Amino acid sequence: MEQPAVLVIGAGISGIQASFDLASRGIKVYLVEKSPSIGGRMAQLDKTFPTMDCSMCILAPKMIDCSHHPNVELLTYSEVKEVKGSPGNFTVKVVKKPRYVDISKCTGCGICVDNCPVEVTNEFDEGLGMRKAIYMPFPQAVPRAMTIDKENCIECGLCEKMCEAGAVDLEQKQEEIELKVGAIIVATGFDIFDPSQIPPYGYGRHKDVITALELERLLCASGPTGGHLVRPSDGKVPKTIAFIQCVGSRDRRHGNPYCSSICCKYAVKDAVLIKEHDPSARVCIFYIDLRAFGRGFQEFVNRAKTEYGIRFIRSNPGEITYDPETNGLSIWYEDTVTKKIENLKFDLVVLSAALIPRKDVGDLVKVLGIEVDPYGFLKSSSSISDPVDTTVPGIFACGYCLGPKTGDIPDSVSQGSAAASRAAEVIVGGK
Amino acid sequence: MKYAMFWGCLIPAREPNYEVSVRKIMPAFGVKLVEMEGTNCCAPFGIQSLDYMSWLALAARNLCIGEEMGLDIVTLCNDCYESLLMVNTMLKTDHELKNQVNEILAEVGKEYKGKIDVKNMIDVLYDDVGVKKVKDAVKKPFTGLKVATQPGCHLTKPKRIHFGERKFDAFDELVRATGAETIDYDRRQSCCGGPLRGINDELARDVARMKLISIKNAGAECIVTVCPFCFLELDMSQLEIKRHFKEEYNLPVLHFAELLRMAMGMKLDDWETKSHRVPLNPLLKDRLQEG
Repeated sequence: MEQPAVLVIGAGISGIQASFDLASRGIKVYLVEKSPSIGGRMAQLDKTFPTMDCSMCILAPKMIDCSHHPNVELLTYSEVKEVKGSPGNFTVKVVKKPRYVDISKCTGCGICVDNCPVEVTNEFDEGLGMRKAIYMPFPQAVPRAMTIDKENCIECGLCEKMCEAGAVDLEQKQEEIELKVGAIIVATGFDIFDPSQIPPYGYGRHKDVITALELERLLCASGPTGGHLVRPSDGKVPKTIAFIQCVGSRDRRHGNPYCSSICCKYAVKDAVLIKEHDPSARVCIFYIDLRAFGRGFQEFVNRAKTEYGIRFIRSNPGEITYDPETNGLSIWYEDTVTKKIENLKFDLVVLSAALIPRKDVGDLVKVLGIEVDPYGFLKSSSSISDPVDTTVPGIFACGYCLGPKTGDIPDSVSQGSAAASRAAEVIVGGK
Repeated sequence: MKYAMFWGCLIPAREPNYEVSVRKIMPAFGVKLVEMEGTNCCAPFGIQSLDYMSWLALAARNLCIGEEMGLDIVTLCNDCYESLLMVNTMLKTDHELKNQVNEILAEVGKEYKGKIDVKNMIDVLYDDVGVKKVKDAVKKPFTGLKVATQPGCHLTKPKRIHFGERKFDAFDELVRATGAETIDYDRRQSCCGGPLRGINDELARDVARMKLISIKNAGAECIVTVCPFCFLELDMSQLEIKRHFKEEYNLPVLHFAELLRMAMGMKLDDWETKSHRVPLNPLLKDRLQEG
């Protein structure tokens, strides 16, 4: 009997690693991704901590390796609709959403993008930049093919006329395919807590109050500003920048009591990045306590203080107010070291918002029949001895969908490998 | 709809304009307010921190009167609301505490049974009357009037007896029903400064000033509140700030009932207009006198 395949749901760094590991062992992998390209959250990042390596430079080779592997079949812009069966013998229904472009013909030349008359906000840039109705989410996208966003498309047909490869197919229909797999790996990742749920911080009310992921896009050379850090409100270079930690995490009032586990690290990294962009900038980090565990990280924090002159203020600020005359923001806080109520003025405020489960993960959880914890993260069958096993045999998980006990990129990668190894046991150990 | 009306102390004594407006608008929505005979102090937080059991007993005695009438109690004042709602919630869920309180109440021949609910006027208008009916009753809408809403802290806090931010939004929705526009501002959820009066007047004034700056910056033309303490503080402190800082905000403060009453086509009497320290005239001239 033919060796069964593995289904991997979610093509972020964790899912990519799991797929590549399995494929390298000679196991067939179906890698299903909801969005038009693989890459996930890591593709949105500028640099990684604490080594300040370019995120895309590490990710892109992995994306290419994985997608070019003969044992990996990519199913992008697709979603899992139904799962039946038992370990070693699952039947999975996958819906391939119509992208109105034939990926086997599209060369990604971009002539259609140049001619498309519709501009909408770009979700890959967290809504800060614009894209066309026919688009590729980012330049290094895999597969290198366009997608038409039919919600915003006006069906003018210009892209179809301009395409020399004849790849545009406005008549494409939704397709449903059935897969036979032996094991399933879930790697759906995380979403960002919406800070507008904390009204005193004014997110959504003031343009210059942004989330850390938005900052990441502003700092990134492939971002909406070409890597120039400017304020969203007036396009000026901010001279004073504040980070507020634990926005929506470690906060019983607004939902999430857990520590999101990565915010201290990326905030320090982003603060250093800002100083590298503009050494005259003044950067403050408001923190409850600084969780600098992990290799090389405490050293990194120390360097941020001494070498880069980043100011750390132990406080959980109460509110951010706006002054229309100076277009500036004031943070009101209690310095818990000096025990004084103070306020400081800033040009830009970055909120380190909590990481929460994917908003639509509930649908997938129902399809798979697996359990979640009270916050909506996937439950391990035993968080100590079987951390990557879900509550259903034959279904494994890796990456941040398992919750904040793992956080950073190396953790997600090693979990991807761990889940691949557990899935391989089912495949090889089965018939 | 019939309710036992708990007026409290501050409204009849210092803000009769608020009382009059409520009495005039409620019948239009089919709401009958029945007077409560022999109520005592609601026991606001001053008493709560002085003597715990006295607070429970005082509030419970008021609740007993509502029970005897067989009607849910409605309050206008946020402090009455907090005290009565809190004690009602506590005694309904804690039988031990209820027995202790009933022992005290027995001395005055009362017994708390836990049969009624405590509501704020906003609850009544939003849940029982409904925004649609309020909207239908509006004859002269305040179209384009930019309102900063000040629900007051005890309409939504503490969290354990309320549910989320719902009432903030409910209040805003009701204000919008009068045709006005609600403005979101930075210090919307902050204290007005009122509770600090008499203890630290300077701090109270500074807190109010920060709130007023935030409201002015957001571009609001007036403040609409449900809480009589917020009304007093935000209205009177503008005079004090004018004297002390030489700053003028000119933000008239209105009770929601007054705003709704004017939107329903009724005019305020001269004495009512005059009970606002920050003059309402500019607002009334532009918005109401044309029709």
